[in-house]
Amino acid sequence: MKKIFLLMAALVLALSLAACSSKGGDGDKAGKLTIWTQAAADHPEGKMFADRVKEYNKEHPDGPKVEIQNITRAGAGSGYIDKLNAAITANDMPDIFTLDGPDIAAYADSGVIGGVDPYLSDGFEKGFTQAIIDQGTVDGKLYGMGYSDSGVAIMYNEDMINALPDDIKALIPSKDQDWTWDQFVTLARKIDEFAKKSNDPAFAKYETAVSTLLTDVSNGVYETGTYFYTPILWGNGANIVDEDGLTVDGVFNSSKSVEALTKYAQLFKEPALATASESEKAFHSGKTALSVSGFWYVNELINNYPDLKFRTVRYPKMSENYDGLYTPSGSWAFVRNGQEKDEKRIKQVVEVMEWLTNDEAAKEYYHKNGSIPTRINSISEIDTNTDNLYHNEAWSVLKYQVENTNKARPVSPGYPYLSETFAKDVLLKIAQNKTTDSATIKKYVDDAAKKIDKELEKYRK
Amino acid sequence: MKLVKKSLFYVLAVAVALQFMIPLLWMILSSFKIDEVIYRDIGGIFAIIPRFSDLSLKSYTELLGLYNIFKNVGNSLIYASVTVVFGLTINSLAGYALARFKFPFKDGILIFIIALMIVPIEATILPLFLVVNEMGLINTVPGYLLPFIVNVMNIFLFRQHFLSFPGELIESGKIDGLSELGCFFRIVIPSSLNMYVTVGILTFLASWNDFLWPVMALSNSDLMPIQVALNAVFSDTYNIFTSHMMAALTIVTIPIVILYIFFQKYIVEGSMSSGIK
Repeated sequence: MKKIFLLMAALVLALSLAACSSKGGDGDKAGKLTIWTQAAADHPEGKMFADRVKEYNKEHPDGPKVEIQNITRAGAGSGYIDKLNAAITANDMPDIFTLDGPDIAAYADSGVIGGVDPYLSDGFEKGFTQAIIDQGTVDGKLYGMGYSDSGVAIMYNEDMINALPDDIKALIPSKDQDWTWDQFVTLARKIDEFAKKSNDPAFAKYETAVSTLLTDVSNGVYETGTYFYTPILWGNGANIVDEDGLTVDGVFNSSKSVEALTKYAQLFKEPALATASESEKAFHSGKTALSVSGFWYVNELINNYPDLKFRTVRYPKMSENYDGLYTPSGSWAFVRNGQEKDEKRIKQVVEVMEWLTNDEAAKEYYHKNGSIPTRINSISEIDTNTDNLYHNEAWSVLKYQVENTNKARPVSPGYPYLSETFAKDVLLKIAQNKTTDSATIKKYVDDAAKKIDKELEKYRK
Repeated sequence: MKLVKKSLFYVLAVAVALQFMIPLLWMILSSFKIDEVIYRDIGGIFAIIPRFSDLSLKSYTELLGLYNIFKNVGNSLIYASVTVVFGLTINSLAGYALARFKFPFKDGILIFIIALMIVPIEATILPLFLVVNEMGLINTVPGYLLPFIVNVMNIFLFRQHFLSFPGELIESGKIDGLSELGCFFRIVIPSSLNMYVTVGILTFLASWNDFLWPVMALSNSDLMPIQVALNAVFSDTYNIFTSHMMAALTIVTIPIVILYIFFQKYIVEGSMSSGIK
């Protein structure tokens, strides 16, 4: 028994010594800058950041040594965000870290992150796409420098469409054409009517006309709903919150907003064209003809659904005459520690942030990880001339949207609540209750606006 | 009649066993399919019966090309084993002391331990991070392991077990010249193996399944345990493939299944004697 005790004592001693010897990892900050990201270290995204930092250290031997820690996140960000919040509480924050676009306003509001615009090189900010600038700007100050954008388009099953009569086929726009939500619903209705009486094998597994991914909202992933469908308000000149990020009454429940949501509701009018409880991977498995699809579908479908022939067209506008930005966008961005007051150090930090988000970085990230470039000069890197025609078409559409129509999600310190309430109390409720009349939809929106207004009260100073 | 009853019992037992086996079988089979086939077969009999033409190692080669899962499995095995060895020793000694000795504030300490059992980990994670950070142990293996070696639930379980341990055995050990610790290691532990195995497995599983604390306490990716690697697969923005997830889960499940196969006798006996479910 004495041997066991001696062994344990030796182990404890060894562990303590190891602890002491590795202490100081975060402690001595002079001459060193630390970056935290939400990407897993082994993943191409984590590796591309590590490579970029390595290059910085190589090209700036006299500057501060930059260290990167890629911290794995779970789901939307927990794990990484928990660690970040703990570090904020312990006043042991990294110099630079990543935040998801819609979260930037809340961190800026609490003073945790600092503005970057006074420290940026001339013209650097203008190199970002408008959606990325808007995503990172709170009260006129730029806080977040996005390194990757995103996008949503409409995909259709080519085999199903080929089985349709010519007059229905003619309703499908080309990849270079704008179309409206009404046209989208009309197409879905015609497909549904045809599918229900067709014996064509393409429709053998048919369930509904459109995959909406509202099942994510049913499962508590509310952001999917807001990310996919806020554009139906934008495309009708409405929004879920005013530009100040704090006013919803008269904006969210405006007549334009109700009008757009009533048109969205036509998808669920009996016989329903979409459902809030669609089968898992409904579009992928040939159970729907159309799909509101995130950009990640392209890689997923090409790699894992080789038999599915998918075509891509633009996200529909709600109003034909609307000419502003309206398609979904946004992703994670780099921000800086707002507690840092040393001007010289802030300049060094922002210089590193520029290195991480400049034109070269955007190109590197696209080639290493498929990240959609956030820099105007780098969007041309998106390859639309590969051997795969489905890839080329999808990326032509997404590329056009990134360059011309992508819009940042609302900037509000209360965004998480705003997003959850919009998705759960309006989008999902309409789908589940198959509500199609304006009066009931107005009531849903009024009730949601009241709830959000109460929540935003705490951010009004 | 007896034969009919026995047959009925076995049919029912097999049906119940299948009920528990099907998700596991689906996971393993799906790990050898591509996503298209997984979702084509879902809900049908071929979800759990293999069609060999559909099976390939594609998901494993892709997954292992992206992530070094085996490194994370190795880390987890080391962390869980260290936690089990230290945890069993320290918690059982504490439980033994609470069950057998008289000392000041003993009842107060016991009430404190029982009260701590109801505090969820989520409520303690931030203070824990602050303490470990203040000690300078954040981003170190000891900083990750130390907080979870002492476990109030396990102390309580051992205390309850030792309350009913026959004192005569210890007295006879002392008559033979053993010290108090000698009695503990030579008489008490060998007579309580079922309890040790049961608590050991619970400790192993808790360590194996932990995600939040390793993310908070560690930064070096080479030191990360398996749950962190799993979440990296699940949270992948660009390659969310069900087949990858199933392959990762299959790899992660193997050590747990082996553990159960080797210790199933003790698990059943220990569960029955301690009332753990």
